[in-house]
Amino acid sequence: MQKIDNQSITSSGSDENIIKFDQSNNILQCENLSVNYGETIAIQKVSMGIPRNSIVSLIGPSGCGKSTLLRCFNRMNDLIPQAKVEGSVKFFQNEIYSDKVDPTEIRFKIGMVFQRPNPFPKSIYENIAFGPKINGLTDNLDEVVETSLRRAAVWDEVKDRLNESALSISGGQQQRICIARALAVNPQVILMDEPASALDPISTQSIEDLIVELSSEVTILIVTHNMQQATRISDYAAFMLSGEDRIGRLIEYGTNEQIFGNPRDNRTEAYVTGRIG
Amino acid sequence: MDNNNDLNVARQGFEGSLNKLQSDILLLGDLVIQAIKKSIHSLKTRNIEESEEVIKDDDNIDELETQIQVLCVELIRKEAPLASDLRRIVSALQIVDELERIGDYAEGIAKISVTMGKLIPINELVLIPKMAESSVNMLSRSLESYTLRDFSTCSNILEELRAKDKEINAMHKQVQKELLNTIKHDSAEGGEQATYLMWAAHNLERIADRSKNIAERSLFQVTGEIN
Repeated sequence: MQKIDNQSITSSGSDENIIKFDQSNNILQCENLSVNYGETIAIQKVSMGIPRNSIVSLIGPSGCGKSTLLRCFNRMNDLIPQAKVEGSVKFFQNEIYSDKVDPTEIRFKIGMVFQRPNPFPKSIYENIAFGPKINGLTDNLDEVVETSLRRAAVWDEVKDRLNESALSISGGQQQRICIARALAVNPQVILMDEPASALDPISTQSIEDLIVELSSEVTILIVTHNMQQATRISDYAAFMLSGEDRIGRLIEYGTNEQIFGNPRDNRTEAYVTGRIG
Repeated sequence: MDNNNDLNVARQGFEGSLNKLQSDILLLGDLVIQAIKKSIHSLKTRNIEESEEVIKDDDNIDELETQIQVLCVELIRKEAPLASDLRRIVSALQIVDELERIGDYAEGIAKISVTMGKLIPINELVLIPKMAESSVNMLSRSLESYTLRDFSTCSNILEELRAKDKEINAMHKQVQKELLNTIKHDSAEGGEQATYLMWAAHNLERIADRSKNIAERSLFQVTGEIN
């Protein structure tokens, strides 16, 4: 077993261990991104690009800043008091933290799905129609609802129950309703924070299949603690780790084959083989 | 992470199983090396009893191969290995297969020896035992590479074995030439014996090939690259 000293866990990964893409193909790009919650630094100087139509997994032990990083990509951290974001996040090469940008608009383009399904206490139909209605899209709502539910691979299961409460269906179905709700406003990116961790194996499988299918049209950034899941679905994986100073850093970012087959950084190797974390 | 002082928390049970996997493979390698040595010794000295022992002992090799395969499958099922752990188990599965086949080649030589029975040797065997010695050396070096898991050592050993493999191929050609000559010009009995010996030499040449394969699998263990 390799030894990892305390010094090595308080440094970011070597630049050459962070994969670089042609920036013109990156749908999202962050540079020197740091987030503080008051005095506490949650993540420090993270730089990475997310290529269009890819699935990127964020992995790392609890508390390493994965969810904080994820939330930066659609300004969800704006909703957290004391959260201060420094650095740059670009969506199609446009700075999303610019004063001119409306965060709500960003969140339609970059949707989010959370760990626990969180449908509104409304009918299935209303859950899906909610976003388009807010955007003033009231024409063809039935079609939008059906298309979104079909894209989320849940239409056949709920098509006869559209007026029933979204809370009356199973957890796996609820999560797919939440994905359909995000899809209804035609996002270009979906951020997923452990979307299958509260689901049984069959529901997990259907969410994973759905993620892979959606990636042909939507870019997906997913936080997961499940190494096998990350191995199965992602094109690229980013490993984060916090040191004794509890500051989350990006250690390694590379292809699925690299991160789970032959990581370059000992800390990544130790994490994916279950020696740390 | 709650406590970074615990960064080196090992999966001790898993680590122990991986160590057992390695020692089982080395044990299998040892059994196979003994089988090659005995099969050639018995062929050279025309000791039929010793040849029969090699044939019987091949069951032990097969049984250990199965045990190692079962352990590998169990580790994959229970531990969901990734990165270096996955490479170690995958290479173990490949190496164990190569070793078992090498064991079969040794058994094959022993069977040839038994089939030859009391045929009087055409002349003293020189090149075939030399081929055997080189093949055994190659096998030992490949197992060393498997154990060391170091890129530069594994690369060097592989290069060394590629060169040795060429030498053994050349020896094999020489043996074939000499034995073909015997078949052409010697008595029927001498020709029959030469045919058997050609198979023995063929088996040794294959042992060298498979030893080289083990060195390749050992390098995969380090690099994860399949060539």
